[in-house]
Amino acid sequence: MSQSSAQTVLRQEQFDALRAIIYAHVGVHFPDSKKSILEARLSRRVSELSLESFDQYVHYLTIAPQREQEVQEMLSRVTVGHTSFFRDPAQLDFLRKTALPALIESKRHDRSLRIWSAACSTGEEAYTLAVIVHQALGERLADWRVEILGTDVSAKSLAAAQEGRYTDESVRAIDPAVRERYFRQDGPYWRPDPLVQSLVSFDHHNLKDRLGAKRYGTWDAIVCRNALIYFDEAMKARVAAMFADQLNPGGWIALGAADSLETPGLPLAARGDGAARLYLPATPTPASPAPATAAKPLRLA
Amino acid sequence: MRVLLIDDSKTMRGIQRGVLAQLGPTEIEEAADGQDGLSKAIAFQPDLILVDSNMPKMDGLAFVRTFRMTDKHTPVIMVASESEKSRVIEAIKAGVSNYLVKPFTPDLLNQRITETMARRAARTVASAA
Repeated sequence: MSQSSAQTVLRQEQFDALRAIIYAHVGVHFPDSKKSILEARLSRRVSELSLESFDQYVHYLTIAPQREQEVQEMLSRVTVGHTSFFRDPAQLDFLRKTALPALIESKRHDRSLRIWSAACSTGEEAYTLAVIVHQALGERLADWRVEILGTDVSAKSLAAAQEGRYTDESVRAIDPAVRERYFRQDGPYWRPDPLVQSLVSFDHHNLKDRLGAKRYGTWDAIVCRNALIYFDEAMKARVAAMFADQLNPGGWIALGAADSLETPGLPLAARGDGAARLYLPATPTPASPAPATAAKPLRLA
Repeated sequence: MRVLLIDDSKTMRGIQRGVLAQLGPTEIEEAADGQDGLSKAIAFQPDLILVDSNMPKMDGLAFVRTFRMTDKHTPVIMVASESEKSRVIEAIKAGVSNYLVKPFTPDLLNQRITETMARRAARTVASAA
């Protein structure tokens, strides 16, 4: 039995087995530098199951009739990141004041707006997008068909997103006036206003599943923050191809500050810098894959 | 391949024998309980053991625990009526190589055998490297 007094020890071959299972399911690559994080987060799970070692845990993930549920449980422990409402105010300011108005202007004839919040975790980002869409559209919202879909691979996170009940800590970054307008207090929790909730739905989707993304149709904007940082280049290329497939003409993709999809050859190209960075479909030249400068110009109002 | 079937139900042993026969030439030995299984395992030296979880005299869990005291490597698939998490975990701690819940289709038994033997082969290659 390989246990220390504090936590179960994770040997290299056990780490390799666990990260292979994680990669196979969600494409998240855990480099060697993250071994201690995996050990710390899953050690408790090993104890909860009354297992004696990570060997037994890997075996459980491999042979148990409940292995699919356990993989979900494991993923919820190793991939759920910190998230909150109105994270990265500078980017949201750019989206609200520049990118969304331009999109709304370009869609003024069919008055339809579809936004995909990919890897939405517990839903804060999707609800935040609903708020800024409402702010951008104002009274026109009643005449528009707005759909914001939050997807995530973690069933546990999605359940929390659908529940839509948040702690003080989750809403602490929200401007008090915005919180007053768009949220309701529910005992010790906060809930998005029904108006906000009516714009948002959630569903299970794995970013590895390019085919599965097609069932939701195409999007005017895709927002995917702080998920790509966990992916290797192969997985990023897969996600970039999926986003390019699912983007409507004139649409854009917004990523987190630490995310990047700028490897040469990807079907997307960056426009703008910092908080104003968006990704658009690249325009390939016959001779070579499109460099970032070959992107179509973003027409902003 | 040599397979030892340990099950108190002659019918179940017959079903398993039928599935194995479809997979290719197989030498099969049968035992009706865990104690009998331990004796047959020593004499027969199987490549694979399928053991029922519920049997008189010595049940599947006790068989695996005892068998693993002297043989750490021969693959053992537990064939069980129960799929509860606690039963699976007990089986893993005892040392089973795979776990199959009844009722099962011939395809599923085939699949469990394939994956079990593949893992055994991978371990053998790794330990030889």
